[in-house]
Amino acid sequence: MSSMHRVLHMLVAAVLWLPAFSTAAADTAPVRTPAAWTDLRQQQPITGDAQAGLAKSAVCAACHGPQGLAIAPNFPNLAGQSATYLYVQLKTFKGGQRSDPIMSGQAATLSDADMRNLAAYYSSLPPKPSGHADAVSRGGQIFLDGDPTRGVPPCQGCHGPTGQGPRMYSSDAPQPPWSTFPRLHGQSAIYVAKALGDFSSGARNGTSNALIMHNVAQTLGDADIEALSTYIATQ
Amino acid sequence: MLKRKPLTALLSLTLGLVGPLPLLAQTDASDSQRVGNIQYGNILDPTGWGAFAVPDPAGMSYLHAGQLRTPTGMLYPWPHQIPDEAPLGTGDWTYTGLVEFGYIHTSGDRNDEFFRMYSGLKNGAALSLLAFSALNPKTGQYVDFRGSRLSSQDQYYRLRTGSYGNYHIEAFYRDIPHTLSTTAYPLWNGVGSTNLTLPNGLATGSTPAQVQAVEANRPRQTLSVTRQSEGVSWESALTRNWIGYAGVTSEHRTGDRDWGGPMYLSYFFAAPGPGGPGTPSIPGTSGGQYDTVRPVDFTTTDVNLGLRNKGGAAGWLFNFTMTGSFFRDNKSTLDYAVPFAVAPGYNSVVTGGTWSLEPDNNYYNVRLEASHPLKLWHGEFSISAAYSSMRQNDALQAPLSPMYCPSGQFIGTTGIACANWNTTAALSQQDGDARIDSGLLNLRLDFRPSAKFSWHLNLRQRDEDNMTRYTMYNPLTGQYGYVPENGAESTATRQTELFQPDSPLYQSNFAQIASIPFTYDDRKTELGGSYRVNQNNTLSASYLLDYQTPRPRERTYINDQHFKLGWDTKAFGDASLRLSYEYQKRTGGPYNPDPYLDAYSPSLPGYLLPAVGYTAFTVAQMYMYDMSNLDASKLRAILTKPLGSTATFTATLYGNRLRYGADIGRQSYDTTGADLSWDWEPTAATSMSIHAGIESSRLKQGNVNDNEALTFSSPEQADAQFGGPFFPYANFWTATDNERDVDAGAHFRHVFSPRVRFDLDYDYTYSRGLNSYDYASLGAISTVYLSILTAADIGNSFPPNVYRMQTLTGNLNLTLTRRVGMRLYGKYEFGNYADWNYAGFNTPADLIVGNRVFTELGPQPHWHAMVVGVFMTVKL
Repeated sequence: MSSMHRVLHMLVAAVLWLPAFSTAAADTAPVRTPAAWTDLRQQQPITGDAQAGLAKSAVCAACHGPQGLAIAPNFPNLAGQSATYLYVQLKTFKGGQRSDPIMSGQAATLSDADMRNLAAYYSSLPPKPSGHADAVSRGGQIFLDGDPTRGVPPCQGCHGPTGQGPRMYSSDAPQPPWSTFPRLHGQSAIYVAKALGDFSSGARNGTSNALIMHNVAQTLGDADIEALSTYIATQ
Repeated sequence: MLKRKPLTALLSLTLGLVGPLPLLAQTDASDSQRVGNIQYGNILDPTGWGAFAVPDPAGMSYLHAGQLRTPTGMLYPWPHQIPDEAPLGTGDWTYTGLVEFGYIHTSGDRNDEFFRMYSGLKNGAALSLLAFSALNPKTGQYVDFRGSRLSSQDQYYRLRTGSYGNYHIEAFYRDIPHTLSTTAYPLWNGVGSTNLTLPNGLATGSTPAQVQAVEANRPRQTLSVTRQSEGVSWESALTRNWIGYAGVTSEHRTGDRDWGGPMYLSYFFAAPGPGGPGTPSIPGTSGGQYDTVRPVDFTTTDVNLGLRNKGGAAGWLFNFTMTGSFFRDNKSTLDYAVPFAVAPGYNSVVTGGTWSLEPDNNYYNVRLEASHPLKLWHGEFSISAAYSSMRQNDALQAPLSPMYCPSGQFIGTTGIACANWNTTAALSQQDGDARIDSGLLNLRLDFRPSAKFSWHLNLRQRDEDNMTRYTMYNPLTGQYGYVPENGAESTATRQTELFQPDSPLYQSNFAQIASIPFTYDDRKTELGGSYRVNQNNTLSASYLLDYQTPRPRERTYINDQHFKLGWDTKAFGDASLRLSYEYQKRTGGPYNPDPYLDAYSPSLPGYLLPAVGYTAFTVAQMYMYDMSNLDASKLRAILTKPLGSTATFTATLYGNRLRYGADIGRQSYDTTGADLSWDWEPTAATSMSIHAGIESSRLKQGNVNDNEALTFSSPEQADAQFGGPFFPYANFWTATDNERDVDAGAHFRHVFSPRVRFDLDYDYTYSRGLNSYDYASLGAISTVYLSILTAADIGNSFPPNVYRMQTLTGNLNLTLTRRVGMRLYGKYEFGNYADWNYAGFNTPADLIVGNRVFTELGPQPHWHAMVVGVFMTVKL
């Protein structure tokens, strides 16, 4: 046997024994791998039966109000919200990519059709009337212009200049999933602050959109979040 | 201080700046200060990051699926997956690591020159990659190591460490092989040293047959040079806006390569001797050309030190750099003994030659760059100024070696005593004392009066001062000039290139008596601008006047004008088209075909013009290509066409037409080429590309053979006019160099599953060169050859030179476990090569042709070679 053949045989033998070796090594050196996340980048706008959604909405109304306007500031308003956004939230509550003590349980029993119908229903309701947000406030500056010196992007880029949804543009370039971006205007300051905090801490990181917001929220300080929440609540 | 001990001074300053590192603020520090080679790789992985090049299905953004395109329409490549990180210790550090090692086996023509040119593959174990990175995300500190070892001549190691936004330190070591010949059969012993001696059985005065018999049994050797380099660099934020950087790199090139060894022209003898045409009638005497082997033992040390401001101190951005480059040739001479006698019998005292190899060189440069915004038209003013000095001051070498021209002997029958030329007492100075300084000032104004319109004005002045002066004067004899070719020319022809006033023997000799301090000043003025007509169309135009004053040259000034027009458009759907046209016109002062007379003996007092004058320096209509008039047009079109959302087609067409205002000298140079490519990236898992490029060029030049019957015998030899008696029209000839190059390839990558990746590459390179010629009459052929050649022998071209190489490379990566993978590598290379310079060299004995000794047989006409490798990849 030539020296080359001997080396090749040794290599093959070593490769065959490797699985056992590597398993033992893996036990002592835990490897950190990125968490799985739901890819929304090719999510198309959804459709649903609003009437069927109405029939399913009785439980929801307990917190989100009979007309989709929350009964307390710690709950989000659903009226006029993007149907696709609402559908994605229910789906991720059910799938475990988003977690909430109440909503995880509520969504667990919903079928895919139920989620579409509920989303279509709340989307069809009239949103909260516009307020009088102060554009020159700190929150207004962040929302409209961001803070380039600190890497804070303007919120209006994805959520629209009045928080009523993104302003889409035509382009040959790959498009973001506009329909999955929520409308923010009129959400309570408490709810917005909690959402930004969850994004920043990574508690809410189960979708590609949440990963975007994770990076955005991490550029914001507590004072920024407070100012921004106040501004959005008055939109 | 810098003037006397530059290296010491720069190092001291470097250390001085490194000192306060711990006190530095956490501020930005970019990675602009590089040291060593930017690209680290080897033949198994030319990019150096192949093991990590796994496209990430997540793509380039969480915002959208699919890849974006550059402004010109090219797809951005898929980003690579970030390797899994593991905690390092109990702190905040994480790390990734990978080692790839295995066995390489080559077969086929593994010793072929082209196969081995830039790789040091050897059968056996190899470490193809060892990579380790550690990061502390909380502090921004990082350590990164990358290494590879295929053999002792083919390896690299690089360590980077630092803290993001604070400092960066980098160190590297690298060996790169460069094989020059694998078919060398040097006649001499002592290859690699500075003293080439004849093998046993040979001495000066041997016959070609005797030399051939010895050469037939010389061992085969490989001539190669290894570039060993190492370096360290540092960059750090000294304050929030001030960044300091420094670096030291040393490259040591060692090995040996083909070299020359003149002993006067053996083809001087028209009557063929027993060795064939061009050999003297007395075998083994009168001239000889030797293909020797010289040692390469160079060290180049580069030092740089700089300071820059990124924050705009009082509105200014600065960059100040000091650079030193120190070249050292550790073997400064080469002596070689010759087997053939220059002249019969006792006259042939010259038994060898000596070379003065490259002198040591010191180069210093200081450079300041600054810019400042202007309120007017959103403008900016920028300035750069530099001063450099290049110096050589080696001890000079005696014109002749006492070993081959010993004291007490005389050169042939010329009466020139060896003792007068074989020591440095024969020189007018003992050291080189060479120095060239240059200064540069560049001023630039940029304005953008509106969003659509911008313009700029650039003024650049570069002045050079060549202070090197050397007079070829021998104080021992009172003579000017030199004894060329180790004394062989004088021995063979009984002529000398020495001048001595009032000496009947030397007072009319035409000889070079001094160095020529070439230098030039250059002033460039450029005005240009661009205008965006609408969203899809931008026009640009510029004018550049390059005014040069070279000295001492054929023209006292040159005006080189460049007009450029550009049109960038997206008016044709989603395709982008970039068109550019340049017209260049060069003119200058009156043309003087011989501006160098100050460096020749007729410029000295005591020169006595011979009755027949001296031979014209060159034909008056000979225009040097960099001094002649020029009309040039250059057109280029670049089309980028997106095909759907996953593919791109690009086409580049270009053509250059250069017309020189000369019949004698370079006449024209035309280049035409096209590059086509198609890239397809349907998913992160698959990519494919095909490209093909072709370029053809045609370089034509003309010249006229002098009427050799008049040389040294008629006053008409001084007539420099084309069409005159010394340069008659009948002696006119032209030479045309036609080149065609093709470069093509196809590349395929696919991830079959997370466990199986496969790459396949095919590359094709082809080059063909044909030198053809034409002549007005046989008078264009030197009389030395004319007696042994006919028009049929001469023909109208040399045989074509051809180089063709094809390679097929495959890589199969298998993931066996989460940590362990396997890589199978295969490369098949084949090609063919033809070069008429090596025609007839089949065995070592063929390398002796008359009084000429060649060293290498040349690359193989056909070769094929296979490399296979089996590697194990382990994530650490």
